[in-house]
Amino acid sequence: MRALNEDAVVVDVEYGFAVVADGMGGHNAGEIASRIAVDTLRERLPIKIQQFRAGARQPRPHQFAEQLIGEANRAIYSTAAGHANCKGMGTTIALWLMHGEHAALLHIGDSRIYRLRNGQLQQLTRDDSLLRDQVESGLISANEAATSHNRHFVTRALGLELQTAVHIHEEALRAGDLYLLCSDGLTDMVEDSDIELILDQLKTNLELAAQHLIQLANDYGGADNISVALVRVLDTAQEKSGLLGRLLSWLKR
Amino acid sequence: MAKLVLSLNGTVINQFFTDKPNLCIGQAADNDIVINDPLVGEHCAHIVGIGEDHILESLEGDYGILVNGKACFRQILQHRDIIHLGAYHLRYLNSRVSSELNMDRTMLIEALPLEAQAGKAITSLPSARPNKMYFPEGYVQIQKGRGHHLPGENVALDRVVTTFGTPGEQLVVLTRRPQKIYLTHVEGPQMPRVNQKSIGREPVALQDGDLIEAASHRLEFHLGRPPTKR
Repeated sequence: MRALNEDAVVVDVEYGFAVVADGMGGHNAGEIASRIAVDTLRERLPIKIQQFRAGARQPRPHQFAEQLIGEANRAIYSTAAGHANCKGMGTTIALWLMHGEHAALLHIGDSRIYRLRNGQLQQLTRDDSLLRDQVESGLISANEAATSHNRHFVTRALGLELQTAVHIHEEALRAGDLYLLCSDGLTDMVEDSDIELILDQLKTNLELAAQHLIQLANDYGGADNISVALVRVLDTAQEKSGLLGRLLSWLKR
Repeated sequence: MAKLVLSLNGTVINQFFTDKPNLCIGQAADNDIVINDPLVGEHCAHIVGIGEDHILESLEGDYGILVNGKACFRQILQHRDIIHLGAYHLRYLNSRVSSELNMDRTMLIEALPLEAQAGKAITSLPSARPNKMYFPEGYVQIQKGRGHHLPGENVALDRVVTTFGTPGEQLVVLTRRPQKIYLTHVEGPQMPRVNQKSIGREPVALQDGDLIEAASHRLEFHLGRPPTKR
């Protein structure tokens, strides 16, 4: 019933980063796209982080992370161009990368990054979604959005064009912060107030918290892949040991 | 189930699913499919679903509506038909006819302005969770405990999770799920006990009347709403 879906989630405690990707495209092409994105970051980020930790001043973490996301984009794009089954595949991505007392947040599409601080959940990323645009421009109300069929139209994704623009955001970390990276499969089904409650109540057992989130999305009839990564900042002063990451992902198909 | 893909000059703008018996098309904002083109009437047409089929009916004008370039007043739509609406095209795709039709709802919309609006508050889209999902009700009667609950008090389990104990030391969680309410150990050296038997790390489904000993609490679990206080 539950499967670890490492194609779509990475949490690297040693190097201090977490990634969630949610692929799109038929005939398993979406899974190929998300796996290329995740593999690129899993393999290449540690090298860049090592160089940065060794004292290299340039590039900055958000710069090399953006560059690697660009590489993943080109890799997906060229794979899609070379395989008829993969035509039009793409993936959303959310990346959380810790450096010193800060974290770089990068995302494309509608995978999200949230932060729980002092019991308050806050969404830190802005979805590249047509529905979000329409709610913001007042075309439809937020209540109507809940029942909209068009909730999954993303306006940007990785792998569709040779160039892609990444949203980048820097965060100052505080001890005790809990970061949630998730695919739309979670936030479609579970209300933010329930996510906040579960994270706040179960933050001392991240694996159980992740299980609860996925289980609740499932109980509400989740039909999409649900990928979740949780990262808790223990102590920002000690970069290497100050990070606890657990990942769990649930795949339904 | 069918879908209608709206495009302008070959660029997909939106898609609509025919899960309402009647889809209205026109320039006015109260239509299901709003076409922002001065050549399109306020409420120019509607699509009526009958079984697996869909009928397009013109509602305004003396010339009908163009389908695949031909004027008509009422027509059963065929897979891949194109309805012309001013400069816009609305393509009808029926999933019954076409198994390759992608009903995956996560898809990309291209050719839209993609500028990030820095500084604006982030709009959180509401979830689509159905309200009718039945989660059982339950409560626990505190027989012994510390913290903010007093012995004798009934605590309703009205949220998806309710914890007892002290985070960082000893903690258990009661979780509402569609059929039952479960008890799970969260952390701490002592495993919780149900009816004097120690439970493992796996969640345990609770029965009415179960006695829970966990995290310095003794709790009696009951299904239903807590009795009202006198």
